[in-house]
Amino acid sequence: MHPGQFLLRLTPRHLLPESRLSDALAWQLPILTILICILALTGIGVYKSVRHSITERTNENLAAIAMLKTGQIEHWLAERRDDALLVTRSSTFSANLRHWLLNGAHDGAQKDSLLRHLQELSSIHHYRTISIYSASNGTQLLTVGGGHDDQAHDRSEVLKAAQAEAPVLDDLHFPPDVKPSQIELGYFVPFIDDRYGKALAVAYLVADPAKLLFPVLQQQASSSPSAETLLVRVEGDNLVYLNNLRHHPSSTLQFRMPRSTPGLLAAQAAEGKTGAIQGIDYRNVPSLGHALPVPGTPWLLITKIDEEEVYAHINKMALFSALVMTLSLLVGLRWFIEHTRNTARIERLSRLYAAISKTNQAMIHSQSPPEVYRAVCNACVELGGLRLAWVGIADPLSQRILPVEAAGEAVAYLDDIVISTNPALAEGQGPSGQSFREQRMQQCADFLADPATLPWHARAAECGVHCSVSLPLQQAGQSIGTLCVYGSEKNFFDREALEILGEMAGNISFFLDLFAQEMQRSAHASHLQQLSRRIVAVQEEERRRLVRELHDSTSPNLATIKLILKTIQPVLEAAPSAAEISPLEDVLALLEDTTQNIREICGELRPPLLDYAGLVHALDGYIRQFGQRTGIAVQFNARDITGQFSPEIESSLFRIVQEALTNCAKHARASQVDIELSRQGEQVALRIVDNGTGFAPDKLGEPGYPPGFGLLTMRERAEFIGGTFEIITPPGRGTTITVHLQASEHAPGQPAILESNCPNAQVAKQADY
Amino acid sequence: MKTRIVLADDHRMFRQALRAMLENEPGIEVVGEASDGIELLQVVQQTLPDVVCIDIGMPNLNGIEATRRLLALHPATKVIGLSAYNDRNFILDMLKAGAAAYVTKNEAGDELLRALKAVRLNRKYLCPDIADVVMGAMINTQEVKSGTVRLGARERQVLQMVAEGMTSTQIAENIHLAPSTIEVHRRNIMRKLNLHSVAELTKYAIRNGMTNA
Repeated sequence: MHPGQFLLRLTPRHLLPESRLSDALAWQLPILTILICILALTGIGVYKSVRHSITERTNENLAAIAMLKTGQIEHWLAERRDDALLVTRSSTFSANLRHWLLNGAHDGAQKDSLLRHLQELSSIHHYRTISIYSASNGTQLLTVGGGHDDQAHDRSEVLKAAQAEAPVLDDLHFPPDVKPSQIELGYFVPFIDDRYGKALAVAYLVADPAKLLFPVLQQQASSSPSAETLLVRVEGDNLVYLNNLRHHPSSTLQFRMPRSTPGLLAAQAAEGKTGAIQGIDYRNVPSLGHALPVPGTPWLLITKIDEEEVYAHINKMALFSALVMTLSLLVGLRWFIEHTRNTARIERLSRLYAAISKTNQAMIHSQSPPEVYRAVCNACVELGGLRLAWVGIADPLSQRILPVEAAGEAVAYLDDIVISTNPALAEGQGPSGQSFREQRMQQCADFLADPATLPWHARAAECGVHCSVSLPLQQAGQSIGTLCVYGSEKNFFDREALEILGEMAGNISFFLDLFAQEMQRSAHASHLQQLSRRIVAVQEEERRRLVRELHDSTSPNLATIKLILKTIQPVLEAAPSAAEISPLEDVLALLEDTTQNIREICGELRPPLLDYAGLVHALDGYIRQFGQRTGIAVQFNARDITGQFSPEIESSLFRIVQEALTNCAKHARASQVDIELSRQGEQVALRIVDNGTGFAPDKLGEPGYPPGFGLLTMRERAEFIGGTFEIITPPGRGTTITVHLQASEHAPGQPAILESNCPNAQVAKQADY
Repeated sequence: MKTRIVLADDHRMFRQALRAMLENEPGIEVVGEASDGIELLQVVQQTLPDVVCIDIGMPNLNGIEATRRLLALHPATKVIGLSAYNDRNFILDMLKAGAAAYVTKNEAGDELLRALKAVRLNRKYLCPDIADVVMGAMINTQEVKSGTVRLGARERQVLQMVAEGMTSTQIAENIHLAPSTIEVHRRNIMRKLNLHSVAELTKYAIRNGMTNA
């Protein structure tokens, strides 16, 4: 596999690092909860404190109002009493009255005068009635205004006032037989006769509280809808509300509540509680109040306001805040859930990405499809968090998809599993079979509910498999099998996960194609190598044969001719004059030259020494000949070479030296060449350094430069024997050729080369080429 | 008493030419011939010669091995290596096997006769080419050239003319030979003198008083 080729196909995101976002969630949830609690507690605290201060302020207001009203009532009562005193203390009136009384109360004119006086008083001070009672028996003597008639009550009160010689309050009451609106309040004030020192008569002034008192009470400092001032009096077990109640029109003196009503503001006041109180009002509505007794009366004044009204603002605020908070909380929670879900999704995706990345790595490094299948299954399970992943390859004979690799907790799912590629069978209708036939991904979001997966429901339920994805694996556009992955929950795979899985399957298919191509390529390469070995072997054999022919036949022929010429030389030389040089000498020179040429050709073609004594000796001989022929000083050094290498290596190294020296002589114009053959362990190095002109290797073959075949041949030879070839040629500074290879020596064997004229033996010996 | 010789070579024509040449020489008698190593051993067994000329490249049993076996059986026999090979390893192996002389086939004429004389006197002999190779092997340099360089009359003539600045064509016209033959002579001269250029040839000629140019 060529990593680069594969990497090209991989986008960078496949190499995302595996992230562990879900860890962050573990501490986010508690923190969020604590935050919410703190917020709620703070809210409650603030609410309570504000409510408290509002209560305080309300209480202060109520107290102020209560005090003000109490003062006003007191003032009004005092006025009434003073009015009565004014009547009784008026010396003229009282003298007239005494006089009238002492005269037996028969003087009509005097009575008229008295009545006129009383009438005046009544109209000035708006008294409903002013009457004068006898202090001794309580009978009515005089009266002005719409007087009423409650003889019994009036008499007892008159006598009480006469006896006490002090004004007696006639508390709020309804005069008998009068409409309820006619409520009244009076004072019995005795006329004290200074001379007798006892009460002469008792004046009774009846005021209408509705005219001044009640308006005063009902007057409110603010336009509060629930604030009101109550005047209450205890009557036995009941509490009587004296003034007109806001929510009970015409309730004056008629509305009663039992004293025992729990929490009732008035009841609390009746129990003697004064100041700020809290409870329910007459309507059973929770209220804040302030109670004060009205001095000089049995009355209890209570100012009150509904709690609801008091706290309306703050409650509204609190409600609003709570609403805002709840909303924020909901939004926050929603965000949190979304975030958690996203994080989980991202993590799942990143795990899948990690899996695909791992798979890709495996593809880059692995040598065979099974290795990749294993890596894919393991990556899906370990990194992708899947319950089961397996790769099945279709068997055309049995028409089945046979699992070849699997990983995951649920591998038992595959025991004796039957998955067919045949659409006619139930076992061929499953997602894997379909995916195989249709060459596309098949998802089963709910495995156990899918009728197509019926044949496998039992084992799926047993193995905890709830959804699956089957992906086709292709080679050269044909399905060859499937990759199937399983999740432990329904709908485990979302769109992105499916995309990643699809990509993964695509990559595997890509790898399979690549692998097939690679196999084909390497088969071709090895075939090529075999061919080139064959060519080299044949070439070497041809050369050997030619050399043998020259050696065995041509050279002896020449030697024979020379011998014969030498033998007949005296005969031939007898004829011409001694001064002339014999043509025989020219013939012999030709013979000599031919012999030498053949020797050189043999040396070039394949020196017999290479087979007979090995590389070092052959090189030695060749270099000697080369030096003689060209005049180039060649230094040859063989270090630590004692035995021989394989014939292949020996001839290749020999050819490389031969080629290099030929180049030196032909192109480099070198005068000195150093050749070193060394061995360290199994590392063999051949170095050829010349002091010639050097050349630019990339210009070889261009016009004006050597063709470069020699260089190519040298490199091929070096690679042919598994070595590396390196050439350094700085122009003008010589050339250094280095060949490195691994080779082991064997002890020099008994040479068989000299068995000439026996070609079969030669061929047999070279069979290992 | 004539020197009795056996010739061993797989090349029949060469054997015959050699035999013809040797039989022209007084005091030499070729008593047997063999075309391979095994046959040689049989012939020697039958004829018990004084000297055996053995080629190295022979079928069945090569010359080196044949020499070794032959001398094991007949230590008094003198062996002369007579081969086309002039590579050091062949020569040394032949000498190690016990050969008393080594002559290249190229020099099979006079040199072989010299070798025969030498071995008859119990001396070793190497023809000049071979001596060069062996000495070069011993002192490991290519510059060794034995002092026995002998140029022929024609070669001296050609060398002189080359040194005088004549081209091959001029020389050829001058001595009525084909230019290619002059080239052959030139090559032979350069080989023999181990020289590689006209300049070196001229220098050699002047140094040796062969020209007055």
